[in-house]
Formats: sequence, structure tokens, C-alpha cells
Amino acid sequence: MKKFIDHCCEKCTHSKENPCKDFVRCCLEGPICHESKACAEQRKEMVDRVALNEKFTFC
Amino acid sequence: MSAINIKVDGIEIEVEPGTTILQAARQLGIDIPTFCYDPELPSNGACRICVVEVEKARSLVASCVAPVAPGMVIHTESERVVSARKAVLTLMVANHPLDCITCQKTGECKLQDYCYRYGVSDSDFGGEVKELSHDDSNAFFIRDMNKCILCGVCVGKCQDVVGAGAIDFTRRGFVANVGPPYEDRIEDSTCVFCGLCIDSCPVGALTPKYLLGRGRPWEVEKTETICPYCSIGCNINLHVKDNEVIEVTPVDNNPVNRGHLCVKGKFGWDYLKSRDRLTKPLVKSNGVFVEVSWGEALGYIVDQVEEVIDRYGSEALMGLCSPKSTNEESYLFQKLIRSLGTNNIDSYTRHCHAPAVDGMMEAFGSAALTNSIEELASTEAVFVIAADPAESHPIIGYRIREAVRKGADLIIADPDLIGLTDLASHYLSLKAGSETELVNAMANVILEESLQDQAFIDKRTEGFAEFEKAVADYAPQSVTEKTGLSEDEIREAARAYASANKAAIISTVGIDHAGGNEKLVLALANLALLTGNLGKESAGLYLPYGENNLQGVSDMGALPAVLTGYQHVKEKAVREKFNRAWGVEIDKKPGVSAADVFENKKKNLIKAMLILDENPVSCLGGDDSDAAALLKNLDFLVVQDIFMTETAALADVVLPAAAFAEQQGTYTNTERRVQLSYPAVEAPGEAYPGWAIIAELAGWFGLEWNYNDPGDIFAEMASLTPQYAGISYERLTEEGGLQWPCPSDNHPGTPYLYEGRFGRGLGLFTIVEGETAPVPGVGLTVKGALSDHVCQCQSLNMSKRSVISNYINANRR
Amino acid sequence: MYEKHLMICGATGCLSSGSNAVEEALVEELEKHGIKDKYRLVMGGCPGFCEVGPIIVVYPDEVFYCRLKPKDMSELVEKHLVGGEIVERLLYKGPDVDAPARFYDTIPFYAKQKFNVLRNSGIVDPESIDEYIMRGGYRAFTRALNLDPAAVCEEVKQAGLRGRGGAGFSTGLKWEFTNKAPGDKKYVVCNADEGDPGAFMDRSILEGDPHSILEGMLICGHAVGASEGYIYCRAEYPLAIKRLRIAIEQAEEYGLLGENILGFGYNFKLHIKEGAGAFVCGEETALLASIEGKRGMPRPRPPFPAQSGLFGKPTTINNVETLANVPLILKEGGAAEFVKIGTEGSKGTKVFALAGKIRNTGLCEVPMGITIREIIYDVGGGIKGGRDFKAVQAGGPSGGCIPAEQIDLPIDYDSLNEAGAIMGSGGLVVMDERTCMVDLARYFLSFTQKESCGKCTPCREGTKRMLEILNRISEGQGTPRDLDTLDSLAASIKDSSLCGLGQTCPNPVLSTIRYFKNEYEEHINEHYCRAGVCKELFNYWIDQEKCTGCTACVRACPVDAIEGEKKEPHEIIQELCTRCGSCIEKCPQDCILITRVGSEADVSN
Repeated sequence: MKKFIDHCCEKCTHSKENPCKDFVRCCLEGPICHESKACAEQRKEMVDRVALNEKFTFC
Repeated sequence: MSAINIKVDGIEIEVEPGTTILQAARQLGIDIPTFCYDPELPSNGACRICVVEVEKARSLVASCVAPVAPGMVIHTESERVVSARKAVLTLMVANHPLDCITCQKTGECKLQDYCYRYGVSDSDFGGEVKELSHDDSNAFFIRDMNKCILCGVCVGKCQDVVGAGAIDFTRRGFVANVGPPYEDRIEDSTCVFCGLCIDSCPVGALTPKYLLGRGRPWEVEKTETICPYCSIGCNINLHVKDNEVIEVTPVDNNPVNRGHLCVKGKFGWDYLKSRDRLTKPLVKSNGVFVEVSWGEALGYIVDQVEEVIDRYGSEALMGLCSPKSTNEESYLFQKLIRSLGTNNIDSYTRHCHAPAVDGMMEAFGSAALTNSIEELASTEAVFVIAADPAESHPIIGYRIREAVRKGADLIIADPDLIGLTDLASHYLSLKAGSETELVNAMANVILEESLQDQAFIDKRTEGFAEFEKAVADYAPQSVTEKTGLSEDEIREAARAYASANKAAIISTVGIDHAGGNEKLVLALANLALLTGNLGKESAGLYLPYGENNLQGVSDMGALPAVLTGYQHVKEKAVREKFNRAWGVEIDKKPGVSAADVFENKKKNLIKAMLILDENPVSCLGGDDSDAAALLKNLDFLVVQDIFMTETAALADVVLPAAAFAEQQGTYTNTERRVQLSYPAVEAPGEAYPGWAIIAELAGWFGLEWNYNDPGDIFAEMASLTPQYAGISYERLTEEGGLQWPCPSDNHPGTPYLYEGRFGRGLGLFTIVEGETAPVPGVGLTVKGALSDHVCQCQSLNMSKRSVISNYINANRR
Repeated sequence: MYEKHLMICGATGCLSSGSNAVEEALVEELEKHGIKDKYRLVMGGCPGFCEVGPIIVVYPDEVFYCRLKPKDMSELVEKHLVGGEIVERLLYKGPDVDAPARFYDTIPFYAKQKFNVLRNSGIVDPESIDEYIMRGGYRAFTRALNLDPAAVCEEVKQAGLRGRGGAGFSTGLKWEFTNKAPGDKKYVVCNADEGDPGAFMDRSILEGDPHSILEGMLICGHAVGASEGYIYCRAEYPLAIKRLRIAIEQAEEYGLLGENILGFGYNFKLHIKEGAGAFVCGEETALLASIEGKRGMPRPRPPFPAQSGLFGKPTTINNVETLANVPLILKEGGAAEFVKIGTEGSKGTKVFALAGKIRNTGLCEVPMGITIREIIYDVGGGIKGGRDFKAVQAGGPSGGCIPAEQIDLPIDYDSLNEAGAIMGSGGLVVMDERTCMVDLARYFLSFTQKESCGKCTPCREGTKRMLEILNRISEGQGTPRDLDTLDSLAASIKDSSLCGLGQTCPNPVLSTIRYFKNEYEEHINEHYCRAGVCKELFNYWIDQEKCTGCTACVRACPVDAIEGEKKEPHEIIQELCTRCGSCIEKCPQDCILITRVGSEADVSN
């Protein structure tokens, strides 16, 4: 997952043609529609790559 | 919403919601000064002279834009207000050339008036002042922008009312100015010289060139009369000093032109004073014209005409009338010819309009504009086909623009881009000659999508069943190749026209000589019948005529087969009525038409011709044409005109006539409105009004006519003509123009026709097929009608004539 | 994962100080050491402290390096990045700190600031929507979508957000008008035509955090019922326009702009319309005319834009900074946080652009209610050169000046209005005794004169005449009547102009006359400009007692108008002197004085 718009796995459905109302929250707190450590890990990796500490992100 | 109570200068008043403070004050007769306010334009709020004090408001309020609110207390001349107004005036004066002594606007200048009112005589700022060069690049008016106060009214008129868009604000701040794009000269811009800017400028920034130095406003006598050019018949004021017209301005409150004009009405009158005006009767002797007395001329005419009649019979005599003559002249002329025993009377250019007349006669049973010009401004859809109204009848162009501004759809079908195309919601660039196919296809779409007004069709028309079957062949897909349009375009245009509650069609009769255009008229009539767009306001079929009295001349019976009001000579009862009134025996055989004579080569028939204000030689090909040859070969030719035209040059007798501004008479415009025109100046030399010449001539023929003034002529004609029966000079003077049918004294006139029944009872659907024959070399647009004018009004000097073609070209976008 | 972030300021101030060259040098150094991949470089938004630019902030260490030059980069890379040691030489130093300061909490410029609107500026990559989301972006919008539009208006109203463009009208109330206006089609417009000379608050937000504006507009659109929006951005901000375009593209890709946004059935489309060099187009109705393709001239109101605005439809127009505040209010718990800052009548923070004779020039964001004293001395670091504070001009060409006597005035909408100034867009021009108040008024008026659209008589003609009078006064041609004329002309222009430009442009003149009438009178009656600005109205005079004869001024004078030997007191030849001021800048003894023409200095000056 390189950008938040990328799907973390095939369960993710959000796109501009087929939007998911939890999209924004899901970027940082997700996955919301299903349980998956791997998917959560993908997100954490993305955030960590950019945010060096909690001052850089929202919590 | 209920009315609102406010107090203005201590006076309580109740007004409608949405009223501005300025309007409320005016209702009370309180005069708040304004520069940039114009009732026709959305309020600008620019000049700030109209500011008033509103209690509890933070700053002063511009009364021209501020709507009233309940309980508002307004002071229009408080100290604070007066101080602000003085400041505005002082600022304007500080940047304005104070040359009131020679300024043409002195005496009717708002800046001058308000400075007088508030005691502002100068400013002592002593700073920079504008120093712009004058633009006098064109033949008509001078633009001195040093005097401009940037009120913006001219911009509003040019952009919104007329649509020429020649001027706008340029630059900004202290160097802001009004002018053409890139500060070009007005001559090189899209200006059409309609004069609306000049008429609405509150100061002396715009001055007609001819007027400059010729007279002060208080030295001038204003006479209201009717413009002699096109069939709209705008009401104009002739400003006269020392028997000379020095300016023309539009009349403001009238239902025809409402304070608007075009270049022809505004500027096309200086021929009145031309040195080439005919001033004495002329008789040709040994190939040269010799001045004679009226008695000699008229006596000579009678001798020669009676000789021709003796030798060849009355059928050898022909009278050729002009659609520019007054009703009275035309009535007397056809009475004269008919009293001499023949029905050979016609007007040549009427022929251009035959398709319109014949087509409408067939479909409706009468031939005239079905609705009024003013109604166009309130229609919901306009379909313009084979016409260029902005060019041929500018007033109609302005009304269409207004309708579009108010939300109407504009559908234009033309091979070229005509003047209104920038406003069109639907522009169909169809192939010339395919107009009938398009209209039939539109009818097809309307029926297919059930957009027709079935109730109207059932109750008010006949021939629908056959029409429906015939039009089934014209599905839009089937005409795409012939018209060059897509199916969608045709469908959308049809829908736009048919779904409006009231829709108008505008076409013109073009320059045709071929019979092709009658088909188009019938096809358009079908469209109007199909959608119930007849017999109600702001709908209808508009085929406006070219010349100013084309309608009137036809109404007066200057036609070979009918008498006044289109009463047919074949009808015994009709002939008997006229015989009784005139004391003559009218021939029951219809006469020959001008077309018969000039085109269909029945030339040997006519031996003597009387021509009134017409110039067939110029219109039909010049000195080497067949028409010229025909006229040369006549035994006897009399021409009455105001100039020595090409045709007059061939005559045996030339009679000098008075021009429009020199005689009284009525004209009937294209919306059937009879309007009374007053003389403003005296005719030069021994020129006389046409009606007087014909009456005098009739006397020489031994006919006992007894007319003291044109009013008598009109009264006689009206008594014989049902449509005019209720119209008289008294009513015209008191009530203004009246639209026929006006059958009785207390009838108000008829703005739109066919409210109850059609002329023929029910409207008729006709089956129209095939191509509309295009005129060789020219599309079905109306360049021709305008150039007809130019050839008839050749008295305009060269620079003006070139501007007229400028006018034609400038409107092409 | 990056080891460190290097946030290089790429905004106006630092760019003109050469941050581009600094960035290039940095990249070169990193590549030379082969460590470029370990560090994230962002040419980001403005940290505000333009006076000390170019600036690089190193995260997560939070070290603030300033006044950088390209040649400093090798030391920075080797010593700090590779060696792990802070480069003291490049830290902030100033008379307001005892030792070189590391970061925000130790630099006095930042001590009283609070970053709300500028929360992301200098921390995120402005061209990354992901970073904006990581910082909590678009959560406020999601929350707003779950609320009823009227409730959103109410929240903004209760939070007390007032328009940051200058007028200070209640934003929530404005939204409510449009929400209640009848009609299916409505518009939201962002006024990014920041025109006040010297103002660049909006520019920094647009360049540094463009998504905050998008989010603000989306929330506004939902609150008023609009489906389409325009950002009217002046063409002189090409970087802002570029960043906005990228942001819009990204938001469209993410489904945050377009149709059925996040499945709530909400459609919103955003366009950018570039201005064309007209200050007057910052006025609401002129701006709308410009978007409609017409000449940018104001229109009379009523009708108000809320009822009939863009293309005749109900429209809400908001300033950039106002919109940037909106997500802060709509986020979870945001409104409660927002009202804690500021005063009773003016909630939240305001971004100010500090300019003029102040030591710390740049952008600062402070809570409303901070006093002028605090801004000038705590944030601003006091007057440059240790001179005395004379006045501060607030609100640009529409504003007025606040004299030194009112130094404890709290800065909020209402107290500024009472003092005869306005908040305006937030420009603060600080003045010392070397600022001529007549010249200041003249400067602002010449700006508005050039920018007047020309539509209405009072503004078009009146400002020209006022300017002519001020010009005459500053050239020594003033007459006593001029002050009365200025007063009455200004009153008329204020009372009867069509739009805000005209109604407020006399303010600088009126407020300088109000507080500094003596200066005007000196100019007129004594032909004397005590600030030493109006060239015809003063002389320079060297104090013979204090002059040490160092010849610095002799060498500096471009027209050789100063005579004097070493160690001897120097003298200015008045006939040759052009009053260019080069000498007074160079004098180390501060012994060149300003005097009336043709007279010696009153040394008690």
C-alpha cells in the first residue's frame, strides 16, 4: 500500500466511483470493515515512513 | 407580499415590495437627481449623486438601487445628503472641460442643471484633468470623452439593448474611460450608429456632427412624426430650426419603438435639404427638361393620357405606386387610375412580399403581421429562420434581445451567422434552400413527441389529417443530408419551440423573385397552427415588410385585383359601393400587375404610365436594363418624385413632390398600426404633397374631388374600408396609432389577430413539399430588403451610404 | 523509514533570500555523502520567521537553523546529520536570547504564537494528500457530513469564527443566510485574491497547506447546500495555484471531490479561477463579476451574494484564512477548543504579517486579544535599531494607524474598529520615528488610487484629488485649508462610495490626521518633515559635538556633499545634499540629525 487510496487487500472497496463512508478514519485507524493485522500493519508502515513521532500525526 | 409603509421627507407612502427608494420618491413627485439611472437598464449605482439619508443606516444610500424596507425613514435633501452631492459634483467638475458657452449640450445638460441646483460653479482642486483627443472618425457623431462622467448608461444600451457591444469601460481608476476595445476609433468598431448612446448621454460627451453649432435646445421646434424607412414606423421627433431639420431624436413613450432608433431613423434625413431636390414641374422638350408651371404640366399630362386612352383604351394606362407613399396618396392614386377606367395599378416592390401575402392569405385568410412588435419582448421562444431581424428591422432585434434576457429561447436557422447568433440557445447552420425540409421535420418531431396543441387544432383548424400524413415522411433522420443538420439539433429546436407557452416565428420575405418562398411561409404557418401559437399575445408569425408603408399601400388597394381593404373588384356589391362613393364605373376585370409588365413581358400592353415615388430602373438593373427599355418605349411617362432619379430622367413629365417631413399623412406599419405623421418643414420651391398633386390632377381630368386636407381623404377611405372604419384623424391625434381591424369608433384597435376566428374562419394546414428555391447567389437572408432601401433612398450622401453597408457588415458575426 | 526530515522553507520570504540555492547545495552535499535516501527533504511551507531566512528545520530533533547560505550545507550535513552534533553557528541568535536557541520553545518569536491555521505549514509536504490525512485531515469533513447542514452552520456560529478577510462578519451567520436562500443551485467561493501590499498570510496557507482550504470549502458547501465551488486566486501566486491544482486532483482521485462523496450523496466540484492583476477583485461582488467573465467592477448590494451571487445564484464567499479555521472547529471537540482562545468578541487566532521597522519580520499566528505591545516587543523583538515605537498601521490600505499611546490595546475586531483602524487581512506595518505619517498615508492612497476600478465618482475622482493634496503637502506646497479639504473629501468618499475599497481608502488619511495632526501641520506651516522622509522638507545636520570624524559618511555620500578631515567634525554641504540617507545609515555615532531646512538641529531632539 503506497498511498492511502490503494486497497490494503481485496476486501477493501473504496474508490471514487464506489465510495466507502469510513474511508478517512480508516486511513489511520483501519482496517474498519474487516479484521486484519497485516492490513493494519500496512497502514502503520505508511505512517511511520513519514511521521517520525506522534507530533507528526493525528492520534 | 403586502405593501410596505415608508416615510420620505416627512410624507408617508405605501409602496409595493421591491420598489426602490428612487421609484418611491418619484411617485411622490420628489426629484432626486440621477446620472447613471435608466429605467431600461439594471441599476448601476455608479454616479452616487442619488444618495439619500436613511435613518439608522451607517452610510448614505444610493436610492436608485436600494429597495425600501418597512418603516424606513428617508431624507432626500438633508444637509448630509446635499454635502455629499456637492462633493460628487465638485469632483466631476474638477475633471470636466467647463466650456458650456459653446458646448452643444448647454441647456439640456444634467451636470449643468445639478450644478445650478446645488450652487457648484467650479472646483479648486487644481489638479490633473483629462486630455483625451476627440474621436470624430465617423460620419455621424463626435465622441469627446473629456466630458464623459462615466455613468455607464451608453455601455448598458450598447451591450444589453442593442447588442452591438461596441463600447465598454476601459482601463481603471482615474484613467478609466469608455470606448471601443483597444481604444480603437468608433468607426472601426462594431458600432451600428443607432444613436442610443447619444440619446441617453446626460452630458455633452456625444454630439451629432450635423447638430454642432446649428441651434440651441430652446431655439428648436420639435415635431413628432414617423420615420420613413422601414415598416416598423418608429416615432421620431424632428428638431427644426429655420425650416431645417437639424436633429432627430426618438419619441420615448410609444408602443412601437419606445425611445429606440436605428441609424436610418437617427441620421438618414439630411437629403431633405439637398440642392438636388426637385422644385418645379418639368416637361421634356426635345430631349431636354424645361421648367413649366403646374398648370402647364398638369394640362399636358391630361392631354397625353386622354390621347393614349382614346387610341388604345384604358387598359393601356398603368399606375405604379410606391410602398413609401402615404396612405392618402396611395388611396387617391388608385382612385384616380380606377376612375380613368382601368384596374392597372400596382406597386413594384410589393412583389417581393407576394409570397408572404399569398401564403398568409391561404393559411389564415388575411395577410398581415399576426402580433405586435412590443409583444416580442415578452415571448418565451423565438424561432428565426431565413431572416436577419437585427439588421433589417433593428427594433425587432432589440425586442428579441430583451426576450432572451428575460429567459426566452432563441432558435436561429440560417446558413450564415446573423446578428443575433451570440444569443441563440439553438443555432442551426442549415444548407440554403432546405428551409422547408427543416420546418416539416420540426413538425414531424412535434407530432411524434405529442407536443402539439391538440385542443387548438381540433377547434380552430382544418386539413390536419392530411397534413399529419404528409409530414410523417419528414422524420428528422430523413432530412439530415438535405439540411446538413443532425437529428438531435432538429429535435431540440422543435422541442424548444413547441414546449414554450408562447412562441413566435420570425421570417422575412427575402429578395426573392421566384415563387419558392411561399412554401416556406405555408410551412411556418403550419408550425404556428400546430402549436396553437396564434390568436394569443406574444406568439404568432412575423413576416415584417420592408418599406415603411408597404402594409398601408396594400391596404389602400393600390393592387390590380382589389380595392381598399382587399375588397375584390370582381364582387359586384363591392364595385357598386365604390361606384356610388366615387361617382364612377369601376372596371370589373382585374388589372395587370407590375410583375406582368416588367418581367413577364406583357410590355406591349401598356402605353402610358404614371409612376409615384418609385424607381424601377434602379431596382431592376439600371439604365441598360429591360425595365429601362420598356419605360423608354412608352408613349407617355409621368414620374412624381423628390429627386431626379434614373426613372424620372426617362419621363416626359416630372412632378416635384414633398418629402415625408413636409407633408401630413398616415402610414400603416407592419403590425397594422396606422400612425399620423405631421409636417415639420416646408417643401422646397414649388414641390407639393403628393395627395395635393393627385387631387389637382384629378380636377384637370374633370373628376370632382373635394378634399380640404388629408383628414378628409382618410375619412372617405375609412368609410369604405371595414378594417379602418373606426379610425379617424381625431382619434389618431388623441390616442396615437391604432391597429386595424378597428371597425368602429370606440374599438381600441387589435394588437394581435385571430383571437376568435381566422380571416377565413378556420386556419388551414397545407401540405408543403420540396425545396425552397434559393435566390441565385444569395441565401434566403434579407440583405436584399435593406439594399432596396438604399436604392430607393439614394438621396443619402455617399458617406452615409457606405456606413449603411458598414451597418450590414458590422452585424455579421 | 526516514531517519530525519529536513523541512526547507520554500515560501516567499525565504525564496527571495535564496532558499532555492540552499536546497540545491543541500542535495549536493547529501548525494556527495551518499545518504540522500535516509532523509526526507521537503520544500515546504512557511515557518513564519522571514527575517532570518533561509530556514531549515530538522525533525524530529526540532532544531531550527536560520540565515543559511549554500556554503553552510556541508557543515550541516557532516556535523549534524552524519556526526549527530548540532551546529551552534547556524542557530538563532539575537538580543532577545542569552544563548543560541534551538527551537520554537526557546525562540522568543514563537513563544506567544499558537499554530492553528498554520498547523501543517512547514511540517507536511504540501503536495501530499496522505500527509494531510495523517495529520487528521478530512476527519472534520467526514464528521460534518454526518451532521445536518443547519447544524454545521450553528456550530460555526457558536464557535464565534469571524471573517478573516477584513470585515469580521460572523462566518456561521453568513453560511446560514446562504443555507436559507431558496434555490437548487448554490456556490461556494474562496477569495484568494490577497491584495493588500505586504500581506502574504493567505499565500502561505495556500502554498503550505492547500488541502485545509479544500476541506474548509467542502464543509462549507455541505453547510450551505452548494455543489460547486471556485477558488479565485490571484495570478501572482503561481506556486499557490500549482499546489491547489495538485490538491484538487488528489482529492478527486481519493473521492473527496466529485460525485457522491464518501457515499453521502454529496456532490461537489471545485474550479480554480486565476485573477488578472486587480486589487478591486478582492471585493466580493467584483470577484464574482470576474469569475463570470465580466469586468471586475463591484455591484450594488442588495441583492447580497447570499441571495443572488455567482451567476445569480446564492453564494457564500469566504477568505482563505477563514476556511482554514473551519476544519479546526468541525473536528471532534474542535469548537470547544476554539472558543478557549481569543477574546469574548473575537475567538480563535489570527495570522499577522509583521513588516516595517520591527526586528522580527515575517508571519506570526497569535491568539486574538494579544496586545500591540506583546506583538511588537515579544513576538516582534522590538523596534530595529533600538528606536522608539511610533505607531503601527493595521489593515493595509483600508486600515488606520494606532499610535504608541495605545500600545496596550488588545488586537481584536472591535477594539481596532473603535480606535479607527481595522483588522483587515492582518498586515501590521510597524513604524518608528523615522516614518513620516504623511508619507505613509500617501503611500497607501496612491495604491488605492491605482487600483480603483473607476466606476463610482467619489472613489475614482476623490482619491485622485486627495492624493494630489498629499503630494503637495509632502513637497512643501501644502496650505492650511488642505487639512479641512482632506477631512471633508474623506468624509464624502467614505459616506457615498459604492464598495469597500472606496469606503475604506480614506482611512489611512483620516487616522494619521487624527493621531498625528502635528506632523501634517509641521509639513504645511513649517515645511518640516521631522521623520526625514519628505525630501524637500528637511536637512541632515551633523552634530559637531558628537562627531568623531571617522569619515564613514564622507565615503558613503554619492554626491560628495560632506566635508571633513579625519578626526575633525564633518559638515554637510546643504546645496549639494540630495537627502538620500546613505550617510545616516553608515554613521556609527548616530550623530547625523534631521533638522528643518536651513537651520541647525535643536539638540534636544
